[in-house]
Amino acid sequence: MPIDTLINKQDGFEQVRDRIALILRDESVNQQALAAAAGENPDLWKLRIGLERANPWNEFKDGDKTPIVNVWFDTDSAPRSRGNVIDEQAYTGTFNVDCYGCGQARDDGATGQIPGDEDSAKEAHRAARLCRNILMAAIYTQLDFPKGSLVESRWVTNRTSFPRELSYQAAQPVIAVRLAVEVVFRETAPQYTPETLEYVNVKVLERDLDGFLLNEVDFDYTT
Amino acid sequence: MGLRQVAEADLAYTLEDPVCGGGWPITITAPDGTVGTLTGLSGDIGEVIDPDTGQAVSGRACHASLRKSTLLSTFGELPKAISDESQKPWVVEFTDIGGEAFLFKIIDQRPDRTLGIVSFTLTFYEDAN
Repeated sequence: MPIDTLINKQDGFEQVRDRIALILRDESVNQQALAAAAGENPDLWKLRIGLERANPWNEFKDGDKTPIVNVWFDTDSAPRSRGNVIDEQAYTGTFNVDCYGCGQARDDGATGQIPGDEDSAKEAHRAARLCRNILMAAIYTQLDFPKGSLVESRWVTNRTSFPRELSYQAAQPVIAVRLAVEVVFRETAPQYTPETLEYVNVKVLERDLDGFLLNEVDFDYTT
Repeated sequence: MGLRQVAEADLAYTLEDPVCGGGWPITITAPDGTVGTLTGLSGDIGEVIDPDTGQAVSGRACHASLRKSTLLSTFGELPKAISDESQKPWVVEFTDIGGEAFLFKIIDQRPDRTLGIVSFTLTFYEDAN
């Protein structure tokens, strides 16, 4: 007997993936507004957010050095101790937030220089700082999903900087820092469509009060 | 004249001749401000580079190759990468095939002392102006 309901909604891991990217994008805009109100340069809080991009740093070639953040789903697992075989399982998923910084070698205005590779690392670190602070903010404990609905918790478990290959020296130095975000969330699946049983009427009467009706329950059923 | 010396002398045509060879005007500014307008080979190509694995992905690779003897006679030393942030770098400028000029600094130098060519790996550079 096949499944009789259409599978037409996103799984939990898809919703979490999209939500992480949405939060980072919206909060970057919010931080820029706060920076402008505080008299700071809002560009220092600007991030370009991508989702499941294969080559996100390609956009640095257009000359814009705003850090680029790429959110992508890595892996998840569902321990048997957290869930049941019928309707609901708790998954622990890892979503990578890769923060790319592009540096610019330049004259320091004095007697020296600012190296491009150092500049790219600091840009990537700055982007990673913003992303970690946003995702670990208290208001995003459940990634803005209603408590008890989809997401149980989120946790930035790792922060890793990609090593720079000595053999590779591009004209535009780019380096990345990865935040591994662990999210515990629910997954459900299509369930049995219940059948209606024979109708049963149950009346519970209070003996001492001359048949005062305490409770009445109707059950619909068919054979 | 030995074969290697002939090869070095031929660099005047293969490397430094802008009419019959592949020579292209390249301006180099030393950290002390000395400017040399030379002719050599320049390159600015898109390349696939993965910052994670070092494999090709997407980016730009820029380089210049010049005759060692010409560099020495112009600057008294070979241009090189300067890592010290308290010093100015060696700055290189050349145009692409469309005439658009780009400014670079040297981040790696690879002298071929067999044939007398020095190749430089370049990164984009902004001057104070």
